Amino acid sequence: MIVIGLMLLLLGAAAVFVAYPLLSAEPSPPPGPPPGLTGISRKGTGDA
Amino acid sequence: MIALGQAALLVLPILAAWSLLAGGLGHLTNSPALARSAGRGLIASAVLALASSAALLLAFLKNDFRLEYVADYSSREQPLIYKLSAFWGGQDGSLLLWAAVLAVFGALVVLTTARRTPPSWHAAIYAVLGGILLFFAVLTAFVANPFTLLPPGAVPPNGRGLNPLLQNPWMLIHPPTLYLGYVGCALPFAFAAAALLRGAADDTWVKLCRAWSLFTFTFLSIGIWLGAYWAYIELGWGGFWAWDPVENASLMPWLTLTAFLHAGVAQEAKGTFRILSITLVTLTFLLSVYGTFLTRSGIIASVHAFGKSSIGTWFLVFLLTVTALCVGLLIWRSRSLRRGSPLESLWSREGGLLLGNLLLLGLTVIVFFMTMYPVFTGAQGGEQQSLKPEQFTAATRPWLLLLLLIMGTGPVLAWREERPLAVLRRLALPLGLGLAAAALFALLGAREIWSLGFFAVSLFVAAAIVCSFVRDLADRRKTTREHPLAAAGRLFLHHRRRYGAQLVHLSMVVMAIGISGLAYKTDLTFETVSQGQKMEVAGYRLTYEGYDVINRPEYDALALRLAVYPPGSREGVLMSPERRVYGRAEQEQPATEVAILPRVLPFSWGQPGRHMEDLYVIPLNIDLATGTATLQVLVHPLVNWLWVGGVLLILGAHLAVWPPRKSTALPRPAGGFALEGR
Repeated sequence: MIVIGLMLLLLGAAAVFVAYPLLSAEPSPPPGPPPGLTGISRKGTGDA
Repeated sequence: MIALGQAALLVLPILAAWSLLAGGLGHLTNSPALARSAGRGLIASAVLALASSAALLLAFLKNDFRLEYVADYSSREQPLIYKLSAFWGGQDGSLLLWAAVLAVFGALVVLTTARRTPPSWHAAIYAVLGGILLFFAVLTAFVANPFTLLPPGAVPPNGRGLNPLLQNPWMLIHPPTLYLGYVGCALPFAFAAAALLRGAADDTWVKLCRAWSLFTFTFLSIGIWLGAYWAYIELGWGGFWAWDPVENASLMPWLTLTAFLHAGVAQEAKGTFRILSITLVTLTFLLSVYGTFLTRSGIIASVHAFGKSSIGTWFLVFLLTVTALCVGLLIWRSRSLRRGSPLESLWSREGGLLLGNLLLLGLTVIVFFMTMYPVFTGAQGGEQQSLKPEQFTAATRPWLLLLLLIMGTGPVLAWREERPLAVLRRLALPLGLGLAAAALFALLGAREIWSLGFFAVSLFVAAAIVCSFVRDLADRRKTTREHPLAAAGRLFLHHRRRYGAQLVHLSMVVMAIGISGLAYKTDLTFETVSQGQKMEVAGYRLTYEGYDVINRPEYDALALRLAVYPPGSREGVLMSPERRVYGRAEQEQPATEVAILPRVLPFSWGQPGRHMEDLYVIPLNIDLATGTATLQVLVHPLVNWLWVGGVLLILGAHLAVWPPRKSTALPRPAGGFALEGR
């Protein structure tokens, strides 16, 4: 019983640790050119 | 604490499986979050494996005989260091050690190497490491669990104790060192497999895993060398290498890893040998698992074996699965692998490296088939027949000689194409020195052809290394005008990998001289002597003066008193070989403690083989009724060169693995050596 309790405890702690990057991950950027490129594009067209 | 160790061990496979799954998915979907999660899985696995190992170690220190494993491999009177080494004295603990080392290496890859690795590689590397760890974690948690409890009524008051042969200080250091090397083979493999998974379109992986490959080579070398030394001083059969299946199993991955280190140089520098490099790394990993399979399965009798067990089947299945996957991956990516630069000329540095690689591979194939010979003979229905060590030596000796030759020649060749006359000019002095030395030894009475051959080639290689260094030194001094010592020191510091590799080559030469001593006739005497009786072996005069009874908590022993006078010496030395009986109930045969008298000096030109020799005494029997002792006395010529070579090897390998300084390096010298590409 003690072993099972400890297992669940360790598993829980490990799950939080390994899942952190998934939970805190920023959403993937939408397809298309990165934001910086639009700035260059505006510069190029004389908008800036 | 036992409960915590058990719980951590049972959670370990789940985390390893997660690393495999998240890494695999991360690779397929190109998701950095999944890759990071897989990396964290490896870090958490390392923490759990270490916690589990600490719990087992504590059980040993507290004499907790509720654990079957502790009761089998430890006892109350066992000294502290053997309680520690009992951890890996049996199957279950050694598998836990394997899993723990792998998990820690995995975590180190995540924490260190990953920072220098492009993020797009992470998921694939972690998936491969997670997959390998999963296998070992499942084995140690469910097949050979060291935390298995004895039934309450069956807990013994004292344990059976560690096997006496393993009660040796070297037990504390040899197995873990070898394990670091063995487990380390998984690391370059993880990078190579990741490269295959990613399309094998470039040579990045060779550079990424170079530090780990050198690290693995270092520990595998130290482990093998320590094993040879331990066998020599402890096992009492009078030699350092018996071509035992498990010794061979550690030699084979070393040979292929050495080949990879050299093929990798060419791949990194010139983009050649893509298929060869990736095949060699894969072979190295497979051979490391194969070595473990040999030890655990009991298919071949060996002093190292853990006895017959079902665990061999697990290893065989794993070995076959990984082989099938690797072959599949190699075929899948064969088109990209073939896009590497072709070899322009055999008469070039690349040609030399290729020849060295082929020799190393040929040697591996020979050792493999000779090691498996008992299995082949057993498969035909008859009894297993092993090949004799002399047969192994005879089959491998020409290859070793050729390897030494290429070691002296290859590094002076230029990349791409070389003019044969220029090479001959560079090698004229070393060649002359080697031949002159062989002629001198022959004139002075050395007659063994192989020994002369090894002497000549060894001196040629040593001279080639020294000449190359002197040339580099002169080149540097032309531009810097430094003091020769300062220039030599800075040359070493700025090109650590290059000169580390040279030192490793030099160590091979020194070891070759030590091994060539075997070609000399080893003086061997079996004699039964009574008290006061004298005997003479190869000029050594021995007098058997009697024996003493020694009682220690862990063993009782009879220690012989032998007064020994080396040739030409009037000062005697007391040698005390022992016959020991340990406290293990089932221990029937007394253990033998040999006595060794090293004779480093003086050097005798008339008898070059007598230099650095050992007088080696094995007490075969002591008759308490008559007081007579039966002794086996051997003289091992040149053997101490082998240990000196080992120390040089460790120094050179450490120098090579030490990261290079980035800012102050001067332009690289003209001649180049193996482990550094130009």
